[in-house]
Amino acid sequence: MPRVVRLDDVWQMLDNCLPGHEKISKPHRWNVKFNGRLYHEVPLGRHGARANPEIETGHIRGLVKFFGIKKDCYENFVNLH
Amino acid sequence: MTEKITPAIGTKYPLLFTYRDTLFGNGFLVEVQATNGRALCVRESEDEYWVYGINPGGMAAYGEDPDAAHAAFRKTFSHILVDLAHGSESFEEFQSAVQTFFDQTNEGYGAEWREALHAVKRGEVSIEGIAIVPANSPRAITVSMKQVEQVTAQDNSANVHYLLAA
Repeated sequence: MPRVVRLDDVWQMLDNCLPGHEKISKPHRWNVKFNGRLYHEVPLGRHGARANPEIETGHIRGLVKFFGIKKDCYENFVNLH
Repeated sequence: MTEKITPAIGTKYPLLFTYRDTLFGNGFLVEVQATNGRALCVRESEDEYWVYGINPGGMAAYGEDPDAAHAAFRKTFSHILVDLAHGSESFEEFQSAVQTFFDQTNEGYGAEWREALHAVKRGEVSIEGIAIVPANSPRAITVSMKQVEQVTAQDNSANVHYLLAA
């Protein structure tokens, strides 16, 4: 099974490492928008929306690379490796 | 007896993919043809392969082997098109949203994709049954309106394949 991180930790990471981003709720996923760019695939968690679900780390690795978030910032909030 | 070699953790596969989707939008029927989209498949741990989109850059998907990871990636791609259709009031708006989605590059994984081409060229990385094609194969996405009369049973069999880039 893939490794996971908590969604609340992801939001905290984004608040600190990508200030000014926007979270957009979609029926089956979250989108994150910043500077006109949109990351489409932050899942709601297994079995649909839940409070602070576990999110597979690969989605968040994709997100940090997409927005160019530095490791020395994100690693304070989420363990992606 | 042939021995199956298990790729090392961290092995990277630079992929090119071609997909076709037919879907409904708000008041229109549309076909989306993505040609030579770029993605990087990485063996992240024992049974954990991830496909990270590069063009389009805003998505990733997981599977227990490269085929399964690609199948999940392809499914996610279609789901995102449906999301974009939901959010578009017209064909033109949808067309623009799809073009933007495809053009937004994941530069971080893009650099790793280019680096991974060398290992494929040297013959160190391969996927059984997957052909190798030039990395600079032209990339495009087309979005075209369809009339109901143009829809055939062929539209149920999406044009789906992925290839290894070198």
